[in-house]
Amino acid sequence: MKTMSRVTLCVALLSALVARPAGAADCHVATAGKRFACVASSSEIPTFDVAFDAAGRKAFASGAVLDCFCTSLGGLAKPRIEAGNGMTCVSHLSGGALLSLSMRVQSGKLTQGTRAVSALLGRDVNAFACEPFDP
Amino acid sequence: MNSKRRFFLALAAALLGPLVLAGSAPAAADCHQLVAGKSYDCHLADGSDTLFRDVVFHPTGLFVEIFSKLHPCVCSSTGNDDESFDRESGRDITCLLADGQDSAFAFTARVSGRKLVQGTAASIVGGEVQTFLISCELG
Repeated sequence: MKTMSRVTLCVALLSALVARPAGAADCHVATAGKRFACVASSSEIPTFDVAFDAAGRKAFASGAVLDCFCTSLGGLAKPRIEAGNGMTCVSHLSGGALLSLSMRVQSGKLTQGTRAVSALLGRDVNAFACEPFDP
Repeated sequence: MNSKRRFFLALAAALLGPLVLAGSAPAAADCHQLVAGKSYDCHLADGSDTLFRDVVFHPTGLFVEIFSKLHPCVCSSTGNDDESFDRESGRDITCLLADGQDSAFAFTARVSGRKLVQGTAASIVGGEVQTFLISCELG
């Protein structure tokens, strides 16, 4: 009995380490109405702020308005459209280029961030990470 | 050391060992390297998948051909500050192309083995975003 309870404890510990929290919010819910202070791997723009609208569907950064969507989860049989914590925000720049911020919303922070100005003939890419202004 | 203690130490090593090894493994390939030159058979969740059947990546993995147009791609990055930033070292891929003055098409996914998972295609027109789940496997 004692052995069984220890085995159960070990399995529970492993599950807690591996599993993602159930019912995690999608990226829109997780960012709605929030502001973040970001640092980037760029010598030209080493810091910038990102603010999201009340729905978490538009982002305001570096003077641009970006349209945002979340990653989708599930499969063809049970799609969960935009249910994920991955987020991509896009804005048009002049000359056909796009400004994009792609990131994960994790534990109230923006992680694994990549800021890109991309066009067919050139790209400027930097890493970034953001902390909330009001944690 | 009694046999019961040895048993639990062995059990803990068996359960936690793979996690420790995964954490100390050499750096994995970034998304560009993982998709370079590969062709994926993709399907949209809503069934209108004929346009997405073949998603073909450039030999460098820096572009993907969708709708017969090349879309530049970037990988996710890692790190939290100047010392730890590792630009485009991740497995999440985002490919974007402006279709016009106020429209764009985006494709994002995570490269996982033979599949592109968490795939999302997005049409962005005049500030309105329409998204679809897209599921892809190596063709």
